[in-house]
Amino acid sequence: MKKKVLIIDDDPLIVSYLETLLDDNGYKTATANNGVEAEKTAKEFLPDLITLDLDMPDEWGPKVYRRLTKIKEFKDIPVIVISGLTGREHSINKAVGFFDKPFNPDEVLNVVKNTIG
Amino acid sequence: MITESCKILLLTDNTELVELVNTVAAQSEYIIINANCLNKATKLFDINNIKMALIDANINDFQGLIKNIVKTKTLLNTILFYNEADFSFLRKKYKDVVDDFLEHPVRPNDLVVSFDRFEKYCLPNRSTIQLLDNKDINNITQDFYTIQHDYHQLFDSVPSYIAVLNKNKQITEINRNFKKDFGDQTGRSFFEVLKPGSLPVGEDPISKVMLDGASHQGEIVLTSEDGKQYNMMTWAVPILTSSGNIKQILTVLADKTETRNLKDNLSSLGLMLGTLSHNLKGSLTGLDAGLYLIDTGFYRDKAARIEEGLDVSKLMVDRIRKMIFNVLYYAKKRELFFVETNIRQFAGDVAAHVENRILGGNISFKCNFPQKDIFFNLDPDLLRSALINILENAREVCISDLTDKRYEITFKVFTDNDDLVFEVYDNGCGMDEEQQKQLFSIFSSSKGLKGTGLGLYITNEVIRKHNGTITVTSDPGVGTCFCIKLPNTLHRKRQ
Repeated sequence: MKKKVLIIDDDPLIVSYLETLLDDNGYKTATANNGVEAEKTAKEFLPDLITLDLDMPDEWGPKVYRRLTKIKEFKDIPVIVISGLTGREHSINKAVGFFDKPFNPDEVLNVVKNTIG
Repeated sequence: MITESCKILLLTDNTELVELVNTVAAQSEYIIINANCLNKATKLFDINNIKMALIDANINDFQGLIKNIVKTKTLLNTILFYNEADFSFLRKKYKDVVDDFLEHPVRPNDLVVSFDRFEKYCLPNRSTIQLLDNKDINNITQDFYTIQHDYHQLFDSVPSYIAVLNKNKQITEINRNFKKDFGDQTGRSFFEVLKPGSLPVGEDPISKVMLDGASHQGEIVLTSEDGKQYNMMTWAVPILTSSGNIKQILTVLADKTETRNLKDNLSSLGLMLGTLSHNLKGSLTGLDAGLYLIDTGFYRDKAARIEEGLDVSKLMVDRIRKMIFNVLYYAKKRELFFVETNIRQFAGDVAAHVENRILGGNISFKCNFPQKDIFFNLDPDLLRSALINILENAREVCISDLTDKRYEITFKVFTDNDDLVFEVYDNGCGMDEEQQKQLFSIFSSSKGLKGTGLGLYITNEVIRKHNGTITVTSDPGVGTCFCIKLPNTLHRKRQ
């Protein structure tokens, strides 16, 4: 069964890129542009891993993460931070990876593979 | 050593005061000559070479002794002992005659201090009035004028602004710099000449000096009569009378406007670089996405993916180009260069520049221009950039909108009472009130439009320099209309 990744980013181009990248490498993907959509989609999709942008206009990324992890099913869900902001490595302590934009797609895939297979 | 010059006349019938004065005087070996009434005091004053008089205002007709002192023009140190209730009256009446006022009950230390001052008058050389001859008067006058001249030179040569104000904050004296930049404003209220803007009443350094008599300093923004704003570092210092009342306020103002502007510009620059860096990263990631699509499209033999990749790459290159151009414009602002321009041709030019890209985004593009040639004085290069910026923003909004509808952009040019009007309308996602408010602020970049945030700011600046206006009406989910109006005055100038 394919592993599932939820992509959370307000930039439709980045979302499309990650979606294509992960689809091409055998992952099932769902996307969300903001925190509210992320919570709704996560409950329906039940992802195994999240990629998360930090600087979203509607809601700050770490806040979205905290909201999700309050839901029982996502308490320990792994997250990869992909953001153009400096200091991203201090944003979410439990993140399994931190990537600057533009990111190296192979490195992102490696972390996804090492985390959820 | 007891000498003739150390005799002190004490007029009082207060035994405690007598004891106190005698005790204090004994420490310095002064001779106290006691009198308990005016008659006795007058007689003793006449026969003794008195150098100091201590007068109790509770004694009947004590004024008689003061009159005597004044009448004989004796160089005499005089102290008046008073009750608190009588102070204002006595001070007003005798301040020019009496040297010191001590309140009942007299404190020993206050008396000691008064005696210390007296000691200066007790020296033999100071016990007589020396008459000056004409030569001395001339020398003193010469010295006075020299000092006055030096003071004025210093006053005028200070690089800051100096104004001397009276208690009503009216200008009584100004230095050369103040006169040069603000005119000769003596006699006028300071805050009429230099308005303090939004500072709360009484919060400026000058008002604070009036309140507590202490020196104050602070930065205030003042607006001159011609509307120019100055960031002034202000020092206000009270000038006191001998009795400690505020006579005037010395105000020194240093113009910090340029420093403040430099600081603001540096902050803006820092902010711009941060925004630019963040948005460039996004665009480069987009470019990576395009290249990935092209790359994997070739590898997987998917033509549609290759095409998508090419489109994405072109869009990202466009965005990056625009960012860089905006930064360059910001860095190298130039003055307008007005040229008489055929508006029909100009509008056609602008439309041609963006048409392919708009149509390529699957957006319908409609143009509505004047039927005949009309001419207007404007800077065609800058205005063209401003209009293209708005049209490309409209295109980006339509492309980024996720709702499924037929998008269209309309570009209209017409005259309205001889004013020239440009309108750009799109049926994209629209903007809410908050986004509209921030639209022309520097570094504002609305959702979905990744850039430096300079685009619309620069557009606004170009329109402003043409003495024009730009207004936006928008409805979330419906669309947006930008309306640029350039006034008739430019056109009239040509004629």
